[in-house]
Amino acid sequence: MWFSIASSFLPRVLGLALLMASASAAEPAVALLTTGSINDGGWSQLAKQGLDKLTAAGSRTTVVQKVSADQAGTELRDCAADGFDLVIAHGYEFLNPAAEAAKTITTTKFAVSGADVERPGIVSIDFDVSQASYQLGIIAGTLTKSGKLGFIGGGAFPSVKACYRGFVAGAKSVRADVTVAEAYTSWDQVAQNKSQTEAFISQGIDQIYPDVDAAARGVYEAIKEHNTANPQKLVWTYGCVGDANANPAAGQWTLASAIIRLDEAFAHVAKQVRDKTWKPGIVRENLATGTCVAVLNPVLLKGPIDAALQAKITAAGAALIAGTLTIPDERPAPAAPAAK
Amino acid sequence: MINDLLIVVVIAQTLTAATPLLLAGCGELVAERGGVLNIGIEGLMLTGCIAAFAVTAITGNSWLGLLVAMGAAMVLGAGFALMAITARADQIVAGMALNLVAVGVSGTVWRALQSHGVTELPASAGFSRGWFGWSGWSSFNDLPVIGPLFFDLYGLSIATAGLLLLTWWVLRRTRIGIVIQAIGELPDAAAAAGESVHRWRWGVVLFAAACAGAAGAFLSIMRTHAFVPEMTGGKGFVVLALVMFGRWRISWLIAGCLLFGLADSVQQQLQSLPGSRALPYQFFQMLPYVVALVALAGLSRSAPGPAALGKPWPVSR
Repeated sequence: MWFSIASSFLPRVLGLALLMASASAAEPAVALLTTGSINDGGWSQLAKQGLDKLTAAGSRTTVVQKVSADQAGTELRDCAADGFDLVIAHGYEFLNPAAEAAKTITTTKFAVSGADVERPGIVSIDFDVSQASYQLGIIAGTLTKSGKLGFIGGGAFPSVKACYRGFVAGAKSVRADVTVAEAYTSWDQVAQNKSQTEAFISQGIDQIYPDVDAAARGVYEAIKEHNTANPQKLVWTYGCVGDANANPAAGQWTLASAIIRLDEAFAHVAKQVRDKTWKPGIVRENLATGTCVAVLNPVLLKGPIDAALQAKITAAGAALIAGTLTIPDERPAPAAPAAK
Repeated sequence: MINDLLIVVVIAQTLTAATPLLLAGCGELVAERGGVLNIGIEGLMLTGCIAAFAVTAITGNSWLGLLVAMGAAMVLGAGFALMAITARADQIVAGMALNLVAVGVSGTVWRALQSHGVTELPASAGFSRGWFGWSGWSSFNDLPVIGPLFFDLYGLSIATAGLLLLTWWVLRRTRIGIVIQAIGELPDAAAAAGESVHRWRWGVVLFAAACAGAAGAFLSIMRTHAFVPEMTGGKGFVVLALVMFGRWRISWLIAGCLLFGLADSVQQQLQSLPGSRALPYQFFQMLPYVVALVALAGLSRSAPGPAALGKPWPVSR
């Protein structure tokens, strides 16, 4: 416990000293709160990597990891008291604590990444991966032999459901009769995700899109086992949030990844603070902003993802950006679009 | 092909899902029959996960990884025994401390591995399906029914079946079993008969720790070939519940673990059925817990646990 207190307290003291020593620095001081460990191999680790880019750009930064929703209010206020200009609370769970903190603290700006709901005084960064997932769906709908697709989510959060909706819409745009099975497992139980994948494969599903963070390793292991034993009945997979195209278990069967460039998203909000253009509201990060994009596996570009399929994906991307193609959205529209 | 039938797939998945529960449960049952309640089983499993992964990733030797996983869990188990048996501390508190230590240690080791670029097992390392990956069995994998349900199982699944049988026999038919039950029921009487209660309790705690470490190794270097922080996901607590609801009997423990594994396997199939989204997904996820615990609570007659369970010995010094 003392170690825990010391490890969260000491960096702030040192950070405050550094801040006082370099008061004229142009880049804002940024604190990051994560729900998980920064070595989780997924959501929180990607955020830390995004923060590292801000550090490299000259910002004073700190990270407070494994923060639960009930601890968040205290941590947000502590970060503000320590003189940070911007606190990025990385996770939907931080939405209400950040809104509460923003009511009384005006010197520090609060951004909640992964939230799609507007709250007074804060910026919600909505990562809309549905468009990139739509492009993945086009691949799945084109390449499936059984017409059966599967989606595995770590939890039915709005951002996860958006990936599912995009994937389904993309697949049905090229093959109307495909079915997409949907299951929810866990963000950290690798074995559970492997079992779910095996269940999918036993039902004849041959395209599996996981959005389960680091636990996707279980999905890839199941696919590796199956494809090694059944090279004539290959199952293909995808990556989500992070780039999984070269994952060691099933990289050769990973067709593409719908990724979030958290470093760019964080740089966008940090720039707003630095330039004093900060405006509370929802910041939509998507295909058009270049933050949530589909990355094809370069190894497979001369194989299953041929030139014709690549052209289809590119055309869909252009239509999504232009707004001539839209994905059904169950969420309420934002009250007012936020300027970037 | 018959091996692709849903029932065969579900049974194979049931056996796989039940393996870590049975393995850790076997050890915990023996410990509790000996009067020691170790709620740190989750932490011991997690220790086994990271120790097996780290050693296998560094050396490429899966057998060494398995042994070190058991050894590392036994070291933590010894720490628990030192507090709960020798120092006579509260067993619940000592077990909770064990869980916290294991989370911290496994996270620290994982961070250290990451900083040295050790995040994957070598391609040839880690146990694969089929009796510790022994190629001699692989030609039998396609046999109808018996292939997927016997020859294609993980090695530790088979070893666990043997361990359960051996443990049942030892507890029921041997002097060792009688002494273990005596120190769990009437430690004073056992001591009067010349048995060292502390020594026996240390023994059952270390046995339970070794089993939990092996269960952790099953998850990391056999089932998934990966490590993710806190990847045990509460399985240790499920084991505790299954041992208690199973009336501290091997047969009921097996029934409970298999039922849990079956319900888990079935819910995975159910989740992907059309129309399943009419129910919240949490309903499917809780099914294994509800089915196993309700069934055990309903079918098993109420029975008190070992009389000295959780009590330090001697009661007063």
